[in-house]
Amino acid sequence: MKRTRKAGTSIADVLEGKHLVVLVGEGGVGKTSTAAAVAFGQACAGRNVAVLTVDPAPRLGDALGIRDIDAAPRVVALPGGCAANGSLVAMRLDSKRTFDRMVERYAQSREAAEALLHHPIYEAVSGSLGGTEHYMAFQRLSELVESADHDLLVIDTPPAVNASELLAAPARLTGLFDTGALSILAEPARLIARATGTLARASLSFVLALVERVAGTSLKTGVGDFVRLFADILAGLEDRTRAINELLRSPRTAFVMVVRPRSTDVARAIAFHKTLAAIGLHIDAIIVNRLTPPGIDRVRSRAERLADAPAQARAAIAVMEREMDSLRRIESNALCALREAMTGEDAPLVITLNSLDVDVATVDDIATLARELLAKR
Amino acid sequence: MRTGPARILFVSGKGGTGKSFVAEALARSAVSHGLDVALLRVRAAAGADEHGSQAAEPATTGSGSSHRRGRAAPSATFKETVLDERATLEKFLTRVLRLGFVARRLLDSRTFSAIAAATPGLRDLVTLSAITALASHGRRRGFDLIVVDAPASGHTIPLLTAPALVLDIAPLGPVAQEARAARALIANESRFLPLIVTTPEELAVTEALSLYDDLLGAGIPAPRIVVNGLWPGHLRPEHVEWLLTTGASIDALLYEKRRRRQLELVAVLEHRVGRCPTLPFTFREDEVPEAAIAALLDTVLGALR
Repeated sequence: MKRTRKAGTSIADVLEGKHLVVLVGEGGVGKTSTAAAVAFGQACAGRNVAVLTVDPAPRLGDALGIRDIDAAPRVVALPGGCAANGSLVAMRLDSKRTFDRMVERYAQSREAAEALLHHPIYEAVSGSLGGTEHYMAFQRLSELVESADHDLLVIDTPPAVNASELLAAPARLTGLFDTGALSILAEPARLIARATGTLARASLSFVLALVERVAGTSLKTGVGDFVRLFADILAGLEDRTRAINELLRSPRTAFVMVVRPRSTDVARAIAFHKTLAAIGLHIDAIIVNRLTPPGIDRVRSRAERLADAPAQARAAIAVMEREMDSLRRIESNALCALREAMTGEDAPLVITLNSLDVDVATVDDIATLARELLAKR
Repeated sequence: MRTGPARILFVSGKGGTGKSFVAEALARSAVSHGLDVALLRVRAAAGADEHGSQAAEPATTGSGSSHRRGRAAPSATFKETVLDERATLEKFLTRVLRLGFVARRLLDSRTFSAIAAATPGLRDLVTLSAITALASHGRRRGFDLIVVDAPASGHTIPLLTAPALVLDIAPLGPVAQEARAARALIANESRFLPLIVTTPEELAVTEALSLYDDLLGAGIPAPRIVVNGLWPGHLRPEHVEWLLTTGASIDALLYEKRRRRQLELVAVLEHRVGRCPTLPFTFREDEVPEAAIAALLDTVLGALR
C-alpha cells in the first residue's frame, strides 16, 4: 500500500486522521511518558483512545493505574476542561499471556493447546525468545484493532535494542518456525524416505546424524514434539503477520520516534530511520526529549546575581553554570545533527521537549506534558 | 603479568546506561595496571547489529590478533573482540565434533540453522562457551581478566541460564559437557563477577534491581551495581540552603534538583544492595572519569579474589 503524506508542522497535524500511533525509540528515553501524553492529548480533544504500554516506570505505571504486570485495562479519568466525549484507557502488554491466547485460539483442540502450553520448549520460548515481546506487542495490537472499541490506539513498543529486531519480529518469528525446515525434525524418517535423489537422501541423513550427535537424542525428540504441536499455531501466525504488516504500513498509522539529545543516540536514531524506510515504514515525527531548559536568568551577569553569595558558593555556582552550558552544547550539537539529517520533502517533523523537573508520576504531569507537546510546532 | 586463571567481569545493564563505555574503560584501566585483558563484546544472540553501530566499533576478530595500546604497561596485552555468531558457532561445533570440515558442512545446512535458531538456549550456550573457552586457555596464551560487554539486561538472564536450560532439555552428549563447563565457571564467585551498570534514573534503577534479583535467583554470584553518571556535588549544604532561598542561579537550582533526585535513587539502590560505587557525569561526551574507573577496578578485582 502506497502511503500519501503531507508534511505536518505540529504533532496535532501528524496525528490527524490516524488510528494507530506507534512510539519507537530506545529504553529510558521517555517513550512511555510520551505515549501517555500523546494519548491523553487526543482523548482530551474528544477521541476514544487506548494506550498500550510494555514496561512503564513504576511511578508512571501508578499514574496510569497499571503498575502490575497483569493489571487489567484501566480507565484514566480525564480532568475538567477536556471534551466530554473523549475517553482514555491504559493497558499493559503481557507478552506471555498474549502468546498463550494465540495458542488457545489456533490450536486444533483444547488438548493440543494444553499440551503445547505445558511443553518445556514452549515455556522457554514464549518467555524469552528474542523478538517474542516485539511480536506480541503487535499481536496484541491487532487484537485491539479487531475489537474496534477505540478510535485511536497508541502503542509504546519495547525498547528497540536494534532496528531489525523491532519490526522484523513478526517475520522472524514465522521464519524461525519455518515449516519446511522444522518438519524434518518432527518426522525425519518420512522425509528421508520422500527425498528422491540418492544424494539428497544421503545428505539429509548425514545432517540428522550430526544433529543427534551434537544435541543428544532427547533434544531432538523434544523439538519434534514441539514442532508437531506448533504447526497449527504457525498457520494462524502467518495470517496475523500479514495483517500486522499491512496495518503498520497503512496511511492511518503514524510512527513517532523519541530520542535523547546526545550525539550517539541521534546517530542511532538516524540509522534507525533509514532502516525503517528501507522496509517501507516512515517515521512521521521525532521528539527530542528531555532537553535542558534555558537558564533564563543568565541575561543578568553572574557577578550581579551572586553579589551576596558566600565566596565558596560563588565559585561552586560558577562551575555548575559552566557544566550546564556544556550540557546544553552537547544537546544542541546533537539536535543540529538530527535536523541536518532530517531534511527533504519526506522528512519527519522534529520537535523538542524540555526536561520536566520531576519524573512523570501523576495524571496532572501527563496533562502538562500533553499541553507542551501540542503547543510545539 | 598473569596471576592465576582468568577472571571474568560480566558487565551488563539497561540500554543507554553506558554499559559498553564502562566495560571498555575498565578493560583499558586494567591494561594500564599491567594486566593482560580481553574485552569481549557480545551482542544479543537473536539480533543482528545494534542500529548498525556495531560496524563502527574497532574490532579485532578471530584469534591471536592481540595488540598493545595506549599507556599499557610494557608487558600487558589488550585484545578487543566482537563475538561473531557464525564464527563462534563454528568454533563451538568444531570443539564438540572435533572435525572442522564437518562443522562447516553442518553450518551450511538450512536444517541445522533452523534447529540452532529454534532450540532454546543453544545460541546463548554457544556464546557462553566462547567465553568459557577463552577463560580456560593455558597460562601461556591466557588473560588475567576478561571483560565481557554483555547484551542489554533483558537478555542477560537468558544468556546466563542457558547452560541450565540446555542441560534440562539435553542432559547427555557433547553439548551437555559444554553446558556443564559453562555452568561451573559462572557459578564460581572467585572467577566470575556480574557488574550491573545503571544510571541514577528511575527506570534504569528499577531494571538494575530486578536484574540483581534475577541473577541471585539463578544461582549466579552476587552482582555489584555501579551507578554511572552521577552529577558531582559542588555546593556545601549551607550554600544549597542559601541558593534555595535566594534563587540566585536557575542553572544551579536545576543542577541541585537533578542531583538530589539522583541521590534519592542511589539511596533506594543502596538500601537494597548495600554500598554501590559511582562514576561521575563528566559533562563532556566520551570523557572517561579515570580516577573513578581506577577505583571501581580495584573494587571489582578485590571482589574476584
